[in-house]
Amino acid sequence: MRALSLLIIFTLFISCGGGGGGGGGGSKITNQPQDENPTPEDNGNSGGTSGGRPARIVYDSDLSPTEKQALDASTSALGRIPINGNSIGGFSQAFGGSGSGSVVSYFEKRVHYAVSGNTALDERIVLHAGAAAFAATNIGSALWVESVVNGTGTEGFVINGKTIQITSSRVGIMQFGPAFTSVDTLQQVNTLVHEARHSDCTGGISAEELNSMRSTGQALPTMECGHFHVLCPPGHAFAGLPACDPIPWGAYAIGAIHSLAISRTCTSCSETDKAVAESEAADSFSRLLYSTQDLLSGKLGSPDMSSSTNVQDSVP
Amino acid sequence: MRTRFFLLLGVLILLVTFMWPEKQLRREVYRHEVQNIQAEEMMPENPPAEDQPTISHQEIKTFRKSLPETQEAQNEIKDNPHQAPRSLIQFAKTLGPLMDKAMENTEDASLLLHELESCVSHSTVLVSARTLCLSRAEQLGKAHSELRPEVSSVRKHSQKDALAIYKKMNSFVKKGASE
Repeated sequence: MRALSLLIIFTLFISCGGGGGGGGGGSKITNQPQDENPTPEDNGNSGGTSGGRPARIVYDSDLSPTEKQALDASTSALGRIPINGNSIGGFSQAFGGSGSGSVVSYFEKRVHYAVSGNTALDERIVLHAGAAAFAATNIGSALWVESVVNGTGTEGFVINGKTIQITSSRVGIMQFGPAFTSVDTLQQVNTLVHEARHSDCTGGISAEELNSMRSTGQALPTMECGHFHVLCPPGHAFAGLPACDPIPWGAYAIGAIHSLAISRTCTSCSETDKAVAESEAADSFSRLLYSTQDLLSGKLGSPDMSSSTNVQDSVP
Repeated sequence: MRTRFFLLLGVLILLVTFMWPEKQLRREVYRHEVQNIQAEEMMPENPPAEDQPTISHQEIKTFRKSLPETQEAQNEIKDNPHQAPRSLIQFAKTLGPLMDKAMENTEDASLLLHELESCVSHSTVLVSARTLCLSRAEQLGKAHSELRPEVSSVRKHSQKDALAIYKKMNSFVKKGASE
């Protein structure tokens, strides 16, 4: 029961998941995996503005043609949008460069595998011997956090018949469903950038955070590992919905900066593209529950884009 | 003899009655044709686009209809908390082609600014949509300096929440530019 409630909380950030009909589809796999935890070449500091390569991601064989098409388009667009991050505060610190190439690197460090929205996840999860079975719908960093909380949880996840070891929050398994394929490429790009940030377990997990998760089944609102969202406060347009960020440099802030770079600096975007990007930036900024002035001035610190597997497990 | 005279007179009256207006009509038509040709000759081949707005009433109607209400967006967010509300994105897509026209044509810009002012002043409209309206108005102000008073009016009618988000976004751009 506790495991189940944890899973509900952890899956909050997997916006691309969800059921839906259709599916099946071909077994052609593009962007073959390098290894269990691929480390793409880091060209984050190369800057540049356009003409970059697509982001590499391993496709699971269950992905439908529609899902593959959406992923082809969005991972390609991620590297092609001509932006100048030098004009946007926090961009180069967050992405490690100023162009779309740095955004591709950022993404590839955090997302490695694409799973279909129609895939029955519980059939793919490999459990440690003796671990309790659970009706899982979560993947990636949520699986890692869950395994940490339960002590002996998930060992791996099967992609294309091969078990991927869940060794860190950056295992990078993302499920892409109807909410992803039904929107335009620019929105898909925004989703990729946003979701990738959830792969970061910034600062690891403290003993206090671990205890809280074990006893209440909920992550502390101050927890930076996974950059979970919290309920928006009363008075907010989305009050009571898990759609706000309490911690600086979370997924909405990173997404906002990227969208702002598109709307304000893209040299080849149409007015419609810019309007969509600007609206996405405005939406993301409206979900930040802290002072962006302090964020920019450095009072809240620079963006920590690292990820840790350090867990302070003081509870036997 | 008298009868012949009256018969001839009758025929003459009939002829005048039926023939005269037709002739008059022909003259009128001819005069109009000449006037039209003269007018066409006087007009330049490509009339200046500034003369009148090219944004249609239908486009304005669609724009107004696409303004996302907060309540509507809340319902969409319940289903999918992560992504921006569908209605907000749809609104941005409706606004895009109008911006294309307004960036090129002052009359279109003026017309659109009037709509953007209405957008920013309605508190029931989703805050991020109002922010978008404000930011597009500012963009039009940069493209058409003569419309600065209209842009100021949009700014003046903006609610605090949208203005705050817009300022936040701008602060990120300014800092980056000065880095």
